[in-house]
Amino acid sequence: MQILLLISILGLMHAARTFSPQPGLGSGPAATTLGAGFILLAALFAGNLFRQLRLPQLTGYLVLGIVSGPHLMNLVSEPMLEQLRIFNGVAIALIALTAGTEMDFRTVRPLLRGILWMTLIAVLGTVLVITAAAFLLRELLPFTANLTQLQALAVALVLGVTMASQSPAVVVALRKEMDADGPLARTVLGVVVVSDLVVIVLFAVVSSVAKSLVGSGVEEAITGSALAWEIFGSGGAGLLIGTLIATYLRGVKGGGALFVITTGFLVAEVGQRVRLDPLLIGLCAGMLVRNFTRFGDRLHGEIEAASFPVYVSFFAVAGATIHLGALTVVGVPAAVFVLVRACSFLSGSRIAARVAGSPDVVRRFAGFGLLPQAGLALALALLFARSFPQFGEAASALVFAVVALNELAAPILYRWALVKSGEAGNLRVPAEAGIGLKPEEGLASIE
Amino acid sequence: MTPPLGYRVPNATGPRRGWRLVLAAGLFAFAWEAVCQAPAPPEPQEPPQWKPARRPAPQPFVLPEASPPDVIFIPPPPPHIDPTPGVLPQRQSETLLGRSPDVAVAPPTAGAVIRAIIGLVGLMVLAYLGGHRRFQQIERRLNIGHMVTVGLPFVLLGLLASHPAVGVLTPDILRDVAPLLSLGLGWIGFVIGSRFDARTFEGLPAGVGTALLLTTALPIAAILLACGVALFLTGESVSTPGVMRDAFLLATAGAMTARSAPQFLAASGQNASARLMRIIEFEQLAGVFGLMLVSAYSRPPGATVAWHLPGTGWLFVILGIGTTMGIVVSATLTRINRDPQFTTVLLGAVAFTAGMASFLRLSPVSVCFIAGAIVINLAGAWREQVRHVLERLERPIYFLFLVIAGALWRPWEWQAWLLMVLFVASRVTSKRLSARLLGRYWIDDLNPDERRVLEKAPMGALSIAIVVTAQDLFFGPTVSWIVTAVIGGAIVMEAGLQLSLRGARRAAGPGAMVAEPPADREENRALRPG
Repeated sequence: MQILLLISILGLMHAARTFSPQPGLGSGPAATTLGAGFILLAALFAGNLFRQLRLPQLTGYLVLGIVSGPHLMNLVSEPMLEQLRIFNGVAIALIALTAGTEMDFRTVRPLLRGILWMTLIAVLGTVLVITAAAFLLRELLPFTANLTQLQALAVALVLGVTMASQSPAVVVALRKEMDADGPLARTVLGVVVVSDLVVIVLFAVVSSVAKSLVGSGVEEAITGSALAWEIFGSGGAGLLIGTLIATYLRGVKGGGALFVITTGFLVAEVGQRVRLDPLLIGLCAGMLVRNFTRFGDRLHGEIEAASFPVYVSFFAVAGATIHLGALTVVGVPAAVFVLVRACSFLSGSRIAARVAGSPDVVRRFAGFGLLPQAGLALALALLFARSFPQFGEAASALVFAVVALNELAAPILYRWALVKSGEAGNLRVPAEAGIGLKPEEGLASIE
Repeated sequence: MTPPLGYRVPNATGPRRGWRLVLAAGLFAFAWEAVCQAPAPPEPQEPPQWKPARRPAPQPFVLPEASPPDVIFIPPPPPHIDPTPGVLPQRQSETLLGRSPDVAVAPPTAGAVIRAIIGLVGLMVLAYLGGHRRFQQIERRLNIGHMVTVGLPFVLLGLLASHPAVGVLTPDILRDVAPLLSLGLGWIGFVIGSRFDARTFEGLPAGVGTALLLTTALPIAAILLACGVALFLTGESVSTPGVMRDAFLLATAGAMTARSAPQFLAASGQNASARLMRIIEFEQLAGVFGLMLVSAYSRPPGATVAWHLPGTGWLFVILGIGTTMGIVVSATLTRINRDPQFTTVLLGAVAFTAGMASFLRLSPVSVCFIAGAIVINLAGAWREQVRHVLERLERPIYFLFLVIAGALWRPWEWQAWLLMVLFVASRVTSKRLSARLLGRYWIDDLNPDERRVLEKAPMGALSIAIVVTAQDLFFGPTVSWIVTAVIGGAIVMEAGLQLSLRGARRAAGPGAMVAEPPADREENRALRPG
């Protein structure tokens, strides 16, 4: 039935496209509304279909995005995607808020040792492994052809940091989708959050070093003050937002979901323009509400209620923007790097878990949670391209391809790990009302 | 030939490689452009420019999808001149959003953008407050409930926010939020459609048919007459393209009565009669069908489209899209049981249906009306859940829609205000006449409350939606006139209504009062079929 529904929506969208004498659906407001509706409905159908196939719904959203996106069917054109990217910032802010509310110090403290060791061994180890791989396989990477060994090593280090980044968004979304809770889910969440910060700082350092060695002449290096502004400014803004949310939740009974959405919009749009990181802001805000107020559960419930349509759109749009073109060009080296990265994370997490004395389930499955990749890697790849105009474009194409492969395959593996570990279904958050307002608020009908 | 990006790609043909190179170069150029156009951060000394902007730099507003991509702005043609043949005419709303090509487009500063964002958030907060129960209690205490329910303050707010001195709804921001206009129109149509249970047609109270005919046909005729007078006074000709269409749309909008009218006019404090509610609902049905006919048979002139259908063909397209979407939504809702999924399906369905209608230059209100009616009539156990979600989101979406409609409103033409005066006069007179004729000759037991509602007949959301649809679909000098006539007329009639109610209260003495309406939602639910 889901297939029939999906086909009917695809058919209607195709019919709409045939109305226009020009190829594609254009970029007007009508096309944007049409695209938003299509993405919501079709991704939901695809997600449900994938769930029936025992695959992550999230992968269904991504695949739908790929199929209907500009690279394949072009039902959702590039201009439409530009308009729909407004969901991205809101989704990232909401995901970060969710992650923050799940970082309860009392429950995380017993796992802290494992998280830190895993960050040190698995994440930093993977950085080194990918760096080594990039350096050794530089014959496969033509953009390093004109570099000296030292320069090639520096560029390989930047590539290593970029490719080692993970995706808190996918981890949080899969955890919600699977209702998973336990040492594995919490450890993985902790590691991806901490390593997000580590990767940002590392990228700042290694790209500056590489820039000085390569001498690209472009003033794109991340300065210390810029880094401090981004990290500490975001943290401060997060504490402020968290205080605001807590104040609202204490003083007002209803409308929390709408307030959370509005806050997410504000954090995403304003934060982006003043160079603050929405992920860090949301994370700090969520952690503050969870650990220093009594409204953590309520905030979590409000986000649950409000975020579903935003998540669906976010992942479908992410799928539509996957760089299939890059995949066809650099498929072979990308596949090699994906394998190297996966092996490094899986073995590194095992070693780290053993060193930290983590539970067996963490030792066996945590590596799968570190595989997903999404927005951060893409952002760093774009920055790479800007920082090194001589070869950055080719290098970023490689990263795009690696992210595309990980984006598609890794959620399936992490879902499998959650099911195998027995943590799927352990978390039951009561589903509250959808977006907006609760019934008891007595909204009147218009007219 | 140099391999793309320096990689060796076996078996790649030349053109393919070229395409990839172009794609990669395009991506790079896009990223570079986005970064270069990003405004400076507030810290002047060390701009931390290492996070790439996710959104592109502001671009000049582009034409609708079926228009030539190389044109930035088409000024509205003067009266009596056809739009460029072979090109879909510029929509009124988009003309208002457009910019002259000779004006250099400077990217907005970070401060301006943040101000606009905070302004938008403020509007969202107001939209939320407008729907809150406590706020409605205050409205009722001040007896301004109907005015707020119809949303006129939000229209004025939009007009104010779009003023250059305020700078909240700038053309750039308006371009970004313009899709909400279609969504709002679709939501209104879907909600109205969801009130039409098939059982409504069984066992209608006596006199409803006659009442409907009188209260609809008489105002339409009177308003058409007023339009004729307006044409005469302004020197316009009937042969001007779109004049007859706009006159008919204005008349249709004027024939509607707000669904909330009984609550604010009933003196007895009792619930509105089922008969009265049926009359109002059938008026709305007539309005939606009128809009459907106009959008099917009066297509934008000179449109270059891949589909060439006669008007009846477009009518079937409207029915087909609405029916298909209704069935799809019904089939989907039977297979989900979590409320967030319900919300997602309804949001997606309304956006998809309204977007498709607007894209095909059809009325989103009409197409979504059909979808809503089908959903509610095929509904299973989830009927109440659908209504619950619709009610929950109705006001915020509606108020945001009105803010945008207000921002697109350009009430600066004297002809529009002349038309408004004639429109108000003809509507008030014809509604009063029809109510009196009805009470005298056809319905013996028409009680004072019913008569008062039919006479005063304040306009509601659908009236505004009809003219905003015209603004969305059509082009011509008279389109903005009818928008001004309806919005201005609604404000004037509302003010008159408030004065008369206060006068009645004073005349009745200190002990008497105009009863507060019963709780809106419960009453509506009680009156709804099923």
